Amino acid sequence: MPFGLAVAMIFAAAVILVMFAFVCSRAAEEIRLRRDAKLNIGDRVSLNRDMGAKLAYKGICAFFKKEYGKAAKHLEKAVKYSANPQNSAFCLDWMAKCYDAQEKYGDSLNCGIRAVEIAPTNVKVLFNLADRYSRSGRFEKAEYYYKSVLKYEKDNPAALFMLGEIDMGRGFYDEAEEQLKRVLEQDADFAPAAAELSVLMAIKGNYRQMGVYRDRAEAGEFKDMKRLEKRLCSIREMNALFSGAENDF
Amino acid sequence: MRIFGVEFDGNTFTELFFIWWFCSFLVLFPVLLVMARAAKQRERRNRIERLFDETRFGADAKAKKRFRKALGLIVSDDVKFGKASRIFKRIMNKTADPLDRAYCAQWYGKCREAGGDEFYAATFYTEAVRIAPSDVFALNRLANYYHDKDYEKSERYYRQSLEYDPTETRVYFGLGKLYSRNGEPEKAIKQYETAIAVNNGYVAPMAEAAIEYAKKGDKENCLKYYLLAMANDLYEFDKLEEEIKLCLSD
Repeated sequence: MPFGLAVAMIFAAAVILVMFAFVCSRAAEEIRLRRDAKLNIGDRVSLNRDMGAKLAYKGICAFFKKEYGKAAKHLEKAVKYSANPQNSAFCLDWMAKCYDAQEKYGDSLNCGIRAVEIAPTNVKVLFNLADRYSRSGRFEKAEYYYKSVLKYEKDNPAALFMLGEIDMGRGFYDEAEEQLKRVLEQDADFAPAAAELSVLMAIKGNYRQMGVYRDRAEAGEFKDMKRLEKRLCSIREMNALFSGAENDF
Repeated sequence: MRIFGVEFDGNTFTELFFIWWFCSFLVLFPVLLVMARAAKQRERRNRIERLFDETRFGADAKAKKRFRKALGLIVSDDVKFGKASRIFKRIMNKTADPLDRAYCAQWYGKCREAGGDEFYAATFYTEAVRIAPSDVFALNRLANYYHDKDYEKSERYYRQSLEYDPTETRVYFGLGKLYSRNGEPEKAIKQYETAIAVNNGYVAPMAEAAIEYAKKGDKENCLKYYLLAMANDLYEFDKLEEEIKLCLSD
């Protein structure tokens, strides 16, 4: 075979192989994205019969592709087509996520509020709204909605943990301790709760308990142990500076 | 033929493999470049959508398109504040609606400020406030501009901003810093406490309140706000610690 022909054939084979690999990877990504969107909608939902579900599916696919503006528009249309309030709340919740991704926090909060008004017993929607209030620093409202979650799902560890965080943030240390201990009763390996409890104990000056919870956080493989250690050291130092008391750790 | 000192005759397996690998690289490289470029374009579009207020300019699609183009010049890697500011100015001159004109003046001011021309930026923020007195963003920028230059003007703009948006916690924080700078710690602490009351998780005023109390020698309240800042996971707690120690030693 002439050399030039061999090179040309190899080049063509390389082009075909690379394009094939590229198309396969894109197709795999698209399939995975659509499968995730369908999982979120629900396996049993028929997209052909339900216009609202179809629009919601399109919206979620656009969200995963990071086309947030387009996703919000599809989801808004889906809300209008949804007869069932739970479906409308679902679409509004996803719209809120789109606005969060676009950093339009006011619109995100409004969507969350609308979702809760339509479906006031939907735990996921309540929790997400509470999260949004918590992130914007409106702890009273956040507390109200986390407690609403607990009405329907008693001892929900995530809601209890967030209530503990909120109480800590407002300086209600005894209430925070109660909530965070309840979290550890539900899930003994919940490292973030153990970490926050260690900080709380340091703030209260109870260094023995601080050490216990610090060890529990480490055992639970808390991600930022180094920073936690630094925080605890700093609190102990400042407590000692102000009170002049010996620590019992 | 000879490549890098190696004799190629196209017959041996290893030579063919080398050629195949090289050709694959030649094809793969531009494909990867195109994919990266597409991802960058998508990210740029998302950033423009984040910045652009859809409610502006009503049905004027041309103005919206030009505005997005100007925003695209700001969010791209090759930032062009000058060109963007000229587009904003042109849209402002052609728009009749006062709120849209104020919006364009605001963005013109931002471009000028980003380009380092604070004085000219302040001129346009003043223009934005003149056209739309409730433009909270422009009021805040003006208050910030006069923060180190004119105490009374800065305080006036902060107060004006609060009349239109009493939930903007950064304004309370700015006022607190202004009073602190002017040697009015009681007023400063009051503003910090208001900021914390409006946004319970706002850590910066907690830290500043701790420092103000340390300056006054009020250890109890200093510790209270320090611990509150730590409970809210203050990021640069070591700096706060150093400053408090410095204030207490003074």
